[in-house]
Parts: sequence; C-alpha cells; structure tokens
Amino acid sequence: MPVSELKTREIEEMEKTGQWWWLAEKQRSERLNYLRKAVWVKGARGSGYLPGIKLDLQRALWYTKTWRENDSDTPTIRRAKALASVWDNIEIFILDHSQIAGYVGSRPHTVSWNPEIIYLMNEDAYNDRTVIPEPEKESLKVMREICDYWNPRTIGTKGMQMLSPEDVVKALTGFIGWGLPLSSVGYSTKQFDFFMKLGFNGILKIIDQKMNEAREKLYQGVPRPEDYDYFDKLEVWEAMKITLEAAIRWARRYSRLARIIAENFETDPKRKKELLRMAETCWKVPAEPPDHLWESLQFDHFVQILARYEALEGAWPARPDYWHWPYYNRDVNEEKNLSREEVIDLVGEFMIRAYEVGFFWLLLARDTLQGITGTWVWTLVGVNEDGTDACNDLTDIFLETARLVRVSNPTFGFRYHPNARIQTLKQVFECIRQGLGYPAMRNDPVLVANAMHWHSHPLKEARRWVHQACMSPCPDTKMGSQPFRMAHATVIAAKAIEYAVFDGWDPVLRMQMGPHTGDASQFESFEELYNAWYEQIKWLINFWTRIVGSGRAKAEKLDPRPFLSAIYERSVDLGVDAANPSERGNSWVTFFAWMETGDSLAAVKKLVFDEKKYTMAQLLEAMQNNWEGYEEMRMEFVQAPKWGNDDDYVDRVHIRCHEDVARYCWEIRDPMGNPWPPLPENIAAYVTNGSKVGALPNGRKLGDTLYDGGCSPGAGLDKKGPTAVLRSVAKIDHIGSVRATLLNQRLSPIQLTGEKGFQFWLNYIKTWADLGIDHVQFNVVDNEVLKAAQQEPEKYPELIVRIAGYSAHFVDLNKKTQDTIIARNVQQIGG
Amino acid sequence: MTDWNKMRDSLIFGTINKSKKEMPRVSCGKCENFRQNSVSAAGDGLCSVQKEGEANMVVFDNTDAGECPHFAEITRIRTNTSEFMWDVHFRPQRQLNEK
Repeated sequence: MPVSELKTREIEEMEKTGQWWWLAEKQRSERLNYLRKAVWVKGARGSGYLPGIKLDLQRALWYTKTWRENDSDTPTIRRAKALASVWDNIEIFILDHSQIAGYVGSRPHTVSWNPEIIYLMNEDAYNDRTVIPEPEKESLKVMREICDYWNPRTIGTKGMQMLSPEDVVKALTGFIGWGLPLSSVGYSTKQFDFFMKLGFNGILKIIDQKMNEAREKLYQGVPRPEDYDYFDKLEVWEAMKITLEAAIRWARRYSRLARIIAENFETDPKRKKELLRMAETCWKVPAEPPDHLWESLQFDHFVQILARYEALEGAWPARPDYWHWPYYNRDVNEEKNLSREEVIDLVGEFMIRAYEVGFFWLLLARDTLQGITGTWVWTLVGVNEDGTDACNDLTDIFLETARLVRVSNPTFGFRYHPNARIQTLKQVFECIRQGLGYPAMRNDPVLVANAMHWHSHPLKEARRWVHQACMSPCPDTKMGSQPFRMAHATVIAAKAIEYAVFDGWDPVLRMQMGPHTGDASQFESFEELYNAWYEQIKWLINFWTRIVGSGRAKAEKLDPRPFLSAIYERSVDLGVDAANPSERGNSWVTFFAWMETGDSLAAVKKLVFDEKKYTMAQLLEAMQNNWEGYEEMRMEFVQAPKWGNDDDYVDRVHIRCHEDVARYCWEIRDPMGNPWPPLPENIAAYVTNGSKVGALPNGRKLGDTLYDGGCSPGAGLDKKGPTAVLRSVAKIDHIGSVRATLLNQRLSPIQLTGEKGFQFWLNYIKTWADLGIDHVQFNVVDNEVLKAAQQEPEKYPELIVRIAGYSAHFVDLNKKTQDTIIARNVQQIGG
Repeated sequence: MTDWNKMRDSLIFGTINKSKKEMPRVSCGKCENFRQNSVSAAGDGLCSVQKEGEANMVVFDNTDAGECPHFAEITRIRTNTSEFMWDVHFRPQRQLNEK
C-alpha cells in the first residue's frame, strides 16, 4: 500500500476514534511539529514547575546591577535604565526552524525572575527545590545576595507599609482572596492602533516634539502655574525614550544574530534565506511600522515580550485576527507573496512562541493557574466599529492552526454575534469538537452593552473589546486600554457564608476575620442570616477594592512602567505614566467560589426556616464538626434545591444575591471614578481554595473542591439537562448584575459528529445567545480517555481540557484537578 | 487590643530576615497549628492557637517552638510541589523534610 494511502487511512481512523492529538501531529508541517515538540512547558503542576525548568538569573543580575549604579535617579528613570541594560546585555537565542524571535530569558527552558517586585516571591524562589540552576550552591549564593539587596526595597515591601496594617496581616493569610496591587504584576491591554501604526521611531518623534515644547514653556519667559507640571512630564517622557531606544537595540541584536547564523553557519539555502528575512524583519520592527504579515507578527511578539521583561504580565489581551488582517490581506490576497501553508506556519509559531513564555510566580499563582503560565485568552471576531461582522480568513486560519499546534496557551474567546459567518462558526465548532476546550463563546451584543453600562465606554469603543484575562471585556482604545490588573481585587466569596454563620470567625484559620454580625444560632428568620451574609460579603468587597484602589492610586510613583507608557497614546499625549489612573477604567471584583452562596443560603432557608427540620444551633454544630457525625443531616442539605435545575426556589435566592451585590458594587468607586462590578469565575482556585474554605451549608466539607464556574452548577448537581442549566443561568442579568460570569459545560463527543452535530451545537449556541447569557465554554472529552490519560500520561501529551477560564494539557494538571474535570456532568444537547 | 502595626512589621521584616536563622529541631514548621501564608512558600504564617490580641500570632516555619506548650507535631509534611497545592500539611521550604 502506498505511504500516502496508508497515511490517509491512519488519519481516517484517528478521526473516527477521536484521537485528535495524534491527528494534529500527522497533519501539521514538519516545522510546526518540531517547534511544537521543542517547546518547554512553563506551567506548574500542583505548585511546582516541571523537571528541567530553571530560573533565569540574567535579568535579575543586570537589572539589579544597573539599578544600584543609578541610585541618584528617580524611580522612573532608574527603572528605564535598568530595563535598558537588561535588553542590551541578556543573552539571546534563535531556535532552529523558527521564524519569530524573542523570549523573556536567556535560554528556552528558563523562567524569568523579577526580584524588584516583592520579597515574598524572592524567598519563595530561594526556597524552591527544583528551579535553582546548576551549580545549585553557587546559584543560591548569587540569589541570596540579590534577595538581601531587594527584600527591604521591593515595591511590595514599600506598598504594604502604605496600607492598613490590619489589612496587610489578613491579606497575607491568603484565606480571603488575593491581590498584589502592583503594576509589575498583572497585565495590560496593548493599544495596537498606536504602536503598530507609528513604529517606535514614530513614537520617539512625537515624544521629542513634546519634550521640546515643554522645555520651551519652562525655559523661556515665565511659565504659567500649570506649566510646572512639565518637570514631571519631562522625566516620564525621558524614561519612555530610554526604553523605546533600548527596545529597538534589543530587536536589532536578534537581527544581527540571525544574519551571523545565516552568513557563517547555515548550510541549507532555504533556511539561510529565512534567517536573512528574519534579520531584515528584526532590523525593521519595532523601529518602523510593519508592511507584511511576518513583520506584523514579529512586531506584536516583540511588544508582548518587552512588556513581560518590564512586568509579570499574567494575561495577554489581544485580537490577532483583527489587527493582523490588513497584513494578511495584502500578502495573501493582493500581492500573493505568501501561501496559505506559509501563513499557517507563521501563525502556528506565533502561538507556540506565546505558549513558551514563562515566569517565576508566587506559590498562589502557580497553584491557581496550574498547567499554564498565565491566561493568554486571545479574542477573535466580534464586530467592527460600525457593527458589521469582523470574521475574516485570518480568523479561520487561527482556528485551524489551533487544532494543529494544540497549545493550551493562548486559547481563544470567540465574540459570537448573530451575523457571524457560518464558515467561521464551523471552524469554531471543529475546535470544540476536537476537544480543545476553546474557543470560549462570548455573547458580543451583551458584552458590548455591559462595557457601556459599567464603564461608560462609547459604542464604537465598546465594540473594540478584548478579553483582559479569562473573562473581562475592555476596549483596546486610547482611553479604554487598561494598564493595570484591577482584578487583583479577588474575593473568596464562600468565606462570607462561613463568616455569617460564625460571626466573622474563620474556623479554618481560627481567627476573627470578618465583622461581628451576631450569633447565628440565635437567628430567628432567614432575613437575619441573609443580612449577616450581606454585611460579610460587603466587608470582603471593601477589603480588596480598598487595597487595589490604593495600589493603583500610588502605582505611577511606586511602580512606574516606562515601556508600557511609551506604547500608550494616552500616556505619550499626557506625559504621565501608564499606571496613572487616566483611562476610562475597567475595574471589577473577581469572585471565586461564588455559586456556593445561593445554594447554601437556599438550603438553610428551606431546612431551617421554612420546614424547621433543623435549628441554626444544630447547623452550627454540624459545620463546626465539618459534618462529621451528621451524615444524615448533611445529605438533606446536599439534596436541598440546587442551582442549574431551573428551580425557582433556589434560583430566586441566587438572583437576590447577584442583584444586591451588583447594587453595592455600583455604589463603590475605583480611582478612575467607576464602579467595581462583580465577576464570578474560578480558574483552578476552585481546587486550591478547597483547603481554606470550611464546611458549608450546601453539604460541602472542608477540603472538598468548590464549584468550578462563575455561574456553573456544582459538579453533578445539574440533574435536569442543559436547557434547565441555561434557564437558571439566564435568570441572571448579564449586563447589569455582573461584569461577566463563567459557565462550564461538558458535552459528549458522540453527539457532535458530522453536520448533524454542528447543527445541534449551533442551535444550542443560538438559544444560549437569545437567552442573553454572556459566556459558555465546553469540554468535549470522554471520561474513558481522561482516565486512560491518568494511567498513561506519556500517550496523551496534547490532550487539552478546559479548567475555568483557561485550558491546560490534562497531563500537566495534578490528580486532584484532573478528577474535578472527570466529575463534571456530561450534557446531551442533541436529539 | 491587637497591635496590627507590630504584626504587619513582624510579618514583613520577619520574612525578610528569616533566612539568617537556622531551622531549630522543634519548629513551628513542624507543628500542626501552623497556618502558613498561602500566597507564597516563603515560610511566614500565623499560629492558629497563640494570640496577639484578637489576632493570631505571627510565626515562621523556622521559629523555635521548643518551649511552646501548644506544639503538636504534625503527622504529615508534604514537600512535593509537583503534585500538591497549599493545604495545612504543605511545607515546601527547603529546610523541611517529607514526612
């Protein structure tokens, strides 16, 4: 039998049996296959990095050296110079077969360490047993010196001394939420229509012009009172210039390296040609605007990497099909100098280069984002500023390429709207059917309205929204782009239930955390319990928004970002740091473990206050004992009505909680003057927070995993099928009650076969959209496959699952998290 | 009254300086009442029994617990970060051994 026929049969068999990860390997080009397999995975499993991953000490060394040498400069200039020295000196590399250059580190297996951020991360790194580079003893000596210099001086050390001492102590337990309110940790929306249009040299020209005008105002005649602000602005512009010039030099080091390899070492003429094109590209961008797709992708990648040298950017807001389309169109449709296959190679590598990016994170981030480095959720499609469909051929290529490279980062969020073209929806469906767990489906008209409601973005700008991390939409415009992770205000919402029951006492930490809201054993009505809960949740919201708001208000002085400022039109125009709260705003409070609230309150309402089967005193005793010895009683609380079954008894309680919290979140304001809308979701925190949240009235015990979504039913508690789930979820006002919320659903692979499967899925999506729900994401993998992968992980390296807001390779997760995926109900959506 | 200022400074500067101290034979890191900071593996945390005012006392994994009347030796220590995440038995610091 000819080889091609054998391959065809093999492929058909794989399609039939749903072995998509093997199929991808057969179908992708040799180049993509090499690049995909050569990549080092930087996500943690459990809370440890995978074997072979090591800290990169070069950035830490160069940054520290230059910082110390410039102690007479202001923090902004000092930081710019320190970054410039890293970009001028860190060792660089170009991988074999690669066409896109740039990495945050001197070796592909390293994770970057930024010692200036917070002493906790430094001690965490020093204590880590696997990431210290060899020779370990010498590395530890170098690290100790760096830690000892930075620990008293880190941005976090200074920031924490600014905050309420009580808040700092309680925050550092990690029991009520998380948040490092620093611009050095988080993420930023990039304003593509500014830097891609001008190139860095174009921005430098504008800055020079502004500096000349400022000097004229300050140095000639008598300045007006308001002109004295130009002294501060000159410093900010100077810092921007230092970073932009250094960034161009850094990119041109790649250009020289590519040329050296091509002219001195490469013997393959085809590869030599590629390297010379890389040399030309890296010389041109980011200094000048791109003209071709390979230049625009390289430009984009450079910008993302440069921003990650400056800060630990844990998300990657982007809309690649929208911003790279003009270059694709020119190369493929007009000038015809790129074939479709060549585009797939470029796009595939663009995704792989993003996948390989890694940092050393704090334990908390390693835990809660296990399997990945950060939530790189790239946005596809949606509408154009005029409301027309933004689907294009490059969208389809991104979706097709995702199935070939099967990386778990980036993933996609698809802005679904009623006019999205069918051929693109079929590509989306194929990704879901082939078990990628993405794209997540986002309801575009709902989220455009939501962005206008909460943050007053004008319609045209709201239509430019991109995912900030997993969920939250924010425009990538001059006044919309968000420079700072306001989601640092993250609340473990289930704690409010515990605190309402135990009068603010934390039974796991054994400490008074929340306010005193009364002895719950004496409560005589459901309203008393509800009011106690409401006080506790408000306390948690206040706690984290106060901390994050303070961090944001002080960030431009404490934690400036000269490079990010330089690529923001708003900052260049105003002469202020990107961290200055001058954007329109996009704050939100992330609620982990939120949906336990309604289920718990409803169970108490029914069994204690309506049916009077138990007293509050009995409930307190059972919860204090973690339900041990109260199994019969616990089962009644488990069997009480639960969310996701279209049961108005429990759904009304949930909706009341949503509406009351939304009302309060509208009243409180961030430093930009905007409200703090709630955003329930979970990433992998539903697993790790299981050890911090004690027994709950929904029957849950300490240590059990929490519900996995933001509006998903608890695992196995949705017993009435997918329509009932949608009906429950549709009772939430997805514009006025939440910033966004996350719905996880599992579907059986069998029902999604062929054209019939597509129609089932499309009908489901149309219903979901008509019901006004803002989000849904799917896992389409059989339990048999997942269990087989637990037994023989080496056979399933590219098997992907959706966690909660992000995807990960199943074998990169610890067993506890794997088991939670297996435990989710599989819904039947077809006839 | 809780002296929150003192507690905050103990947490911050105690963590910064803790590496200069050796791990004692009997330490808070080996006690089941230790609730270490779940934000990082720096080894800082609170004792869930001893109080400073209304709050829990600041301690570290290498705080000497030799004289502590509440010391209760932990039955299990998990140092393997590749599988486990934070829980009350999680002690990934390099000075502690799996148990």
